[in-house]
Amino acid sequence: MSSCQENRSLLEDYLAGGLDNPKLEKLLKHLSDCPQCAGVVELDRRLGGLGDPSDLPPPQDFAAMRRAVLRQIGDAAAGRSTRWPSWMAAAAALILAFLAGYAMNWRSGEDSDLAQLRRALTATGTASELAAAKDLISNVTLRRLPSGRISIGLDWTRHLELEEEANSPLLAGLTARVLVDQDRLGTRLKAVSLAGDSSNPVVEDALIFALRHDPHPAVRLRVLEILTGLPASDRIEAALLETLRHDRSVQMRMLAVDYLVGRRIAKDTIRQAVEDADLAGDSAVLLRVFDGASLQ
Amino acid sequence: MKASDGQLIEGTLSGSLEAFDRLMQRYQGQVYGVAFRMLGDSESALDVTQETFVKAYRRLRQLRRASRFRWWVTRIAVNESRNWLRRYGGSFDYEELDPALRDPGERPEEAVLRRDKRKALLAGLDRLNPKQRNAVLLRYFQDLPLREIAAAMGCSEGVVKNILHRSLLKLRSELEMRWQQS
Repeated sequence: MSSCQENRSLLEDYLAGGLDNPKLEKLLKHLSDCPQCAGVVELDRRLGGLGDPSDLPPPQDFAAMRRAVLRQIGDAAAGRSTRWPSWMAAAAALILAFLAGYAMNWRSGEDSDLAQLRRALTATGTASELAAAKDLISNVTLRRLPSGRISIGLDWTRHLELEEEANSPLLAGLTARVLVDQDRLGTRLKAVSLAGDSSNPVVEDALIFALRHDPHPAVRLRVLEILTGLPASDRIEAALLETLRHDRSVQMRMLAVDYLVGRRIAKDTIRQAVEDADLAGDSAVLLRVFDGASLQ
Repeated sequence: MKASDGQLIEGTLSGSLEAFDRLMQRYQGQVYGVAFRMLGDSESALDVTQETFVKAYRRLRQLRRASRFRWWVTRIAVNESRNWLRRYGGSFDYEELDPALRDPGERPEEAVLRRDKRKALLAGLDRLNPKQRNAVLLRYFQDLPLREIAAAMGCSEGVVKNILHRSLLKLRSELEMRWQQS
């Protein structure tokens, strides 16, 4: 049996991109006797196969992504400092004087925009109505500040930046909009994490909507974690039974079973919901129903 | 005539968003590919691609050599993907649940096993030293040939081979330890 040391350079060449035939045969012979080097080659194979991005998204998805980037950076580009010729400095002074006056009016315009936004976001309505309404809100960014307040950026009639308390009705309304409008995945996940701090019924309604309708399992999982941490209610139990009937994710259905069994919902009701679904992985989910119930 | 990266970067720095749009078109597939390999999910990869280009635009003045743009922007993509995993990758797993990525013939328990191994693999990268992690990321996530990895890391091809070998040995023992613990 040849040693690892003797085959080390062969293995290094292999990892760096491959070996020609006689050398490969020699390495393979060593691998058949050496679990440690074979393990390294297996790891190389596994790392190389982490994902095949050969199926690129359709061109329109890339185009939408680029438009979003250009929108985000557009303001920065417009605001980039420019070195002015000296003759323009005098003109700048005159322009500044004009702008000072203009800013007074602009400020009241901003207030009016914010007031409109506040009215729109705090208007009552069910999650389904919100989803149908399609507000002209886009490019939402949400960030928790060290103070605990939330920094919000969004495009409304124009781009707005504001700060709100974590329990403000405006933030609750915006969180609900983001969840039902199915904004960007990252924004939805951020909205879900903020929703955990909210006791606003509008947000709970939007969470239940997202649990049923959000296309991405990551969002649905986070929503499920939050809903199952809220005080128990018939609405939440009904939503989780719906999860058993409709959600394709085995992981989601397993978690829903755990919650429902813990809430002592009749085993037959849970089983019926699983069987109604007729989805892949049902047998594993059913097993969980009976295992979970027997542990109660 | 096709504009070079340098010309498009210069155009961008002079305020042309069209030039930056052309740069994005040129590298969107590559950036997306890096993010997809790390996240295993197309929607997240597209989000990270967007974040990457926004960051690239904001830091473009820091890029010293235009010829390094390709390498530079994919490094941002790797970092953004890692941030994404840190922020959102803790308790859920995309690929088991995404029908586009799921093998229809695969049983749920097989999917869980595969998913856990992938998660452990990515977590194991954090245990490597910066040089080893860089080599693995360049080789397996950015798909660069040995020559380019050596150029990016500023060392010889022989040294890169050695680092890769040591990295995989260390990663393997990390993973074994984790799997034994679990």
